[in-house]
Amino acid sequence: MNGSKKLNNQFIGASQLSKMLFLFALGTAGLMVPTFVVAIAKQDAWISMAIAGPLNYIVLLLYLALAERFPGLTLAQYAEKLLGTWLGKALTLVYVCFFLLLSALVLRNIVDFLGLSVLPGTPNWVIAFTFMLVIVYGAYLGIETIARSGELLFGWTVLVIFIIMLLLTNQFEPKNFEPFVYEGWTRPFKGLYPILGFPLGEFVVMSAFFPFVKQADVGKLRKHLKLAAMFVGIFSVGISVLLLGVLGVDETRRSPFSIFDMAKTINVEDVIVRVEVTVAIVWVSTVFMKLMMSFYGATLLAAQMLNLKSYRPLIVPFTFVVVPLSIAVYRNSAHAEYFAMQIWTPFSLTIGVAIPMLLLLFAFITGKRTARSKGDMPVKASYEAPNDSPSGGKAQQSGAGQAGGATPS
Amino acid sequence: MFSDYMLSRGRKKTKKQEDREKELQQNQLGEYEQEPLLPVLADNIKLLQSEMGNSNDIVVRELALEGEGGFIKVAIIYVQGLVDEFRMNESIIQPMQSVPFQAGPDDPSRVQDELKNKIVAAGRVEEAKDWKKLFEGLFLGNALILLDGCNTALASSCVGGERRAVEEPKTETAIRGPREGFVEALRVNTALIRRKIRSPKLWMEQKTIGRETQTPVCIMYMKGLASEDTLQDLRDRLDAIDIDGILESSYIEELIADQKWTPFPTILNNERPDVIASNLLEGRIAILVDGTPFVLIVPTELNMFFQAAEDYYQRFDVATFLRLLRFFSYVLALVMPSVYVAVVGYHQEMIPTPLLLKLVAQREGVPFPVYLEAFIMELVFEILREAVVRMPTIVGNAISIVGGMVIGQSVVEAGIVSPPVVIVVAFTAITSFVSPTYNLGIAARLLRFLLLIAASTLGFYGISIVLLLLLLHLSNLRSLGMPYMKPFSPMFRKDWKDTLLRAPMWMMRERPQAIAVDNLVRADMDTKELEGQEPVQ
Repeated sequence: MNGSKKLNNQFIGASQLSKMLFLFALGTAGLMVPTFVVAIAKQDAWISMAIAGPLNYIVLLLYLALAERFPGLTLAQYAEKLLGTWLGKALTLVYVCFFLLLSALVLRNIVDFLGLSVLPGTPNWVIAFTFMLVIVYGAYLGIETIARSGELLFGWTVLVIFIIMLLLTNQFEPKNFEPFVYEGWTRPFKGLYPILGFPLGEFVVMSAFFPFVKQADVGKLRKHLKLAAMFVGIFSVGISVLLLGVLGVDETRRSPFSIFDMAKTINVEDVIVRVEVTVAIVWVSTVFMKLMMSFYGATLLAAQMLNLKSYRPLIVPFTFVVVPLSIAVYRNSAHAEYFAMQIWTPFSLTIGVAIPMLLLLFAFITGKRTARSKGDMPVKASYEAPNDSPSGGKAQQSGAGQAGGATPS
Repeated sequence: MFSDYMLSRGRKKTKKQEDREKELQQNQLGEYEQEPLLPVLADNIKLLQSEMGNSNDIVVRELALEGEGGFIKVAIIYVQGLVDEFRMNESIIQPMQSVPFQAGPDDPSRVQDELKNKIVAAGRVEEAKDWKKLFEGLFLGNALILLDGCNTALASSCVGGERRAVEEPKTETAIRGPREGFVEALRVNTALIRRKIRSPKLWMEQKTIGRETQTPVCIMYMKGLASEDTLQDLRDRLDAIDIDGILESSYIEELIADQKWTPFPTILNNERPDVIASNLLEGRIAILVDGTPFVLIVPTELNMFFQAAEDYYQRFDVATFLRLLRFFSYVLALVMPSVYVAVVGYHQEMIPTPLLLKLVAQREGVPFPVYLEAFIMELVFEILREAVVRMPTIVGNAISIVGGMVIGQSVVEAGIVSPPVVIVVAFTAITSFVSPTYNLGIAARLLRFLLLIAASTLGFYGISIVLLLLLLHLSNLRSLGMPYMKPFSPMFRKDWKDTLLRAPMWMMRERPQAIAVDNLVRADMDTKELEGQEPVQ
């Protein structure tokens, strides 16, 4: 009896959330950040990546602390509880705008990537709209479906990255790492700068998803997040080590999507050549998850801010915000690089880390918290129920009624 | 008379509903209501015959039997062809005629009791108190015994008539394994399952669905293994069905499906009793419908479609290999033409140079772009396939010769289509036949065209977009409330031993966690002990 109950409800598991986090962190960041980090830290970039690993976890703990203080509430809801209705709503608006901007940036990144690498002849807006089509469909289907598809994507992504890494080992050149910590330890720490904004500050999106974690899994959440952060750390170190070893500092620095260029060098016996399209497919799927999460977060928070019954009416309007914004947000790729390396870090750190920290501090001082309500979850009741209430039972009844005519009773 | 009765039932209804109901009444052939029988035998017979339009397969045999103080008027009514007439003679008519009744015509209910308890020599005798029950009994192949002066009838079972015998299932054959398959008769099918699971815990519930066809539908499950929630959900859904006829289990399948708009089958069907039995033992529920050998299983998961019965009758390593092969073939059947189009049309750099040169040379002089070529060939193949399926075997051979000769050879020789496309389409066709279940293959057939369109417009990006949509769609699907992508997502790692892999029997000690409620232990044996045993010399 319990078995099906557990499956039927609208919550996601802790492990599902941690897999989503993994895809989110590897999303655009895995594709673009190595370039920036290598630009600063040179051959010690992998050390910066290694330092960033624990930092990821610390930031996640901050959101987790807030989520534990206000169980079942998203950032929008506890901001209102803490700061009062109007100030809370104003803060939520900031976050909605941030999530929308983030969605636009992510969309722009993937559009740039695909436009430059695999579809040079296709207009950008076509790629943007087709990509958003998937996002809209996913957002419409709801959090549980998103989480489940994330779980499936996770396995696929890890497998493909692993295979690519294996295929590249024959070109690995250890000399590229020398000289080791040539200019002292300050350089790898400086290399942290882009990572702090991208993806670290963006993890604030997770605060929209913590309330969906099912009650039975809340206890395991910390462990799973730790695992996810560890995985992210290992993969980003692995990717940067491989980049430096295969491409070297200069080439990595020059290429806007270095992992893609790295995959171009794959050559196994002249049979498996130029398989970079598979890398493109992997990054389409990780970016898909990142965009999905930030877009869903934006619609969810906005719906809560506006006291709507469901977030679904906002999906289409927000699409028409995100797509034009993604086209307008950068002038060209040089501007994009400047933006990502210089501006984004303080911006996203303010919104992603500083404000939540202040909120937590404020909550500590005022001693505000909410008790975990048993059974019903506010988020579930108001936002996910309409999609698929435990089964198609009700829909079925009406469907069968139509098929056979009026019921004789 | 029944329509009058219907009209007299006053209920508050919206205008639309009323109109609809009226329309329905006019269309209905006869809505049997729970109205009692009339006391006079002749009236009953007359009414029955007029209700049935004097159809002459209804046989009314009137008898006058000797009783205490007079003759008792009795009528035996049955449908010719549904009843085993020889058996009926032996078990009903002969005993009635041979001994005089102890009760007389003035006390018909006592006569009836005597008939029921003493005289009629049939396994199952039921009392039909109203017209609805009476007709139900009649069409299920019972002989009805009506008495003068008595307003109930007896329905005595002597089902007979021509039916197909149990034979080897046509849709799923196994080299090793039981050879029997389900037939059209519900009772035979339930017996076939009972013969596999000889347990009092195998429970059965019967319903009648279909206003006109009155089709018996049976739910079978293992009490204590199947989830009560799922069962209740299934019952509710079956009760909600209101349709004039159920002619095949696919009607039920479509009507109780969770999501209606999907190319994927969310309910598995099978005609092998061993498959059904093994699913029942996992805690799933079987739905048997009279008139079809295809039994439904709920809840279904996607990976069940890649499992063949024989996987469990062959060694586990071979079975695992075959399962992976099937899964791989399915993916190929889905994406191969589109990947070919994407590679040749957009990403030529992926092809090693010697191969590319060959391809280009082959495509020399072909008038169509590659996507059109692929599309035409796919379409031609689908047409050929459909033509062969619907034709008798003799004509089918002719079609395959024409298809193979004309399309396979001439088209290439004439330079209209390049040989690689033919190879791709032909290989795709073969891969699509690897899947052990037919209806999952249909999903791939449809989606292949969608992927082909995506690949020809946006290359690999288009394919990945469609695959992502597909992923979301599959993650959203449910079968009777259970996620379709289980146990991959939501993840039940312990259940993976019987998904794409088939673990050895001694490792499958537990039932799938996602399905069975409690009572998880399937085989309680200590394998270590087995391994440690001394080999018998």
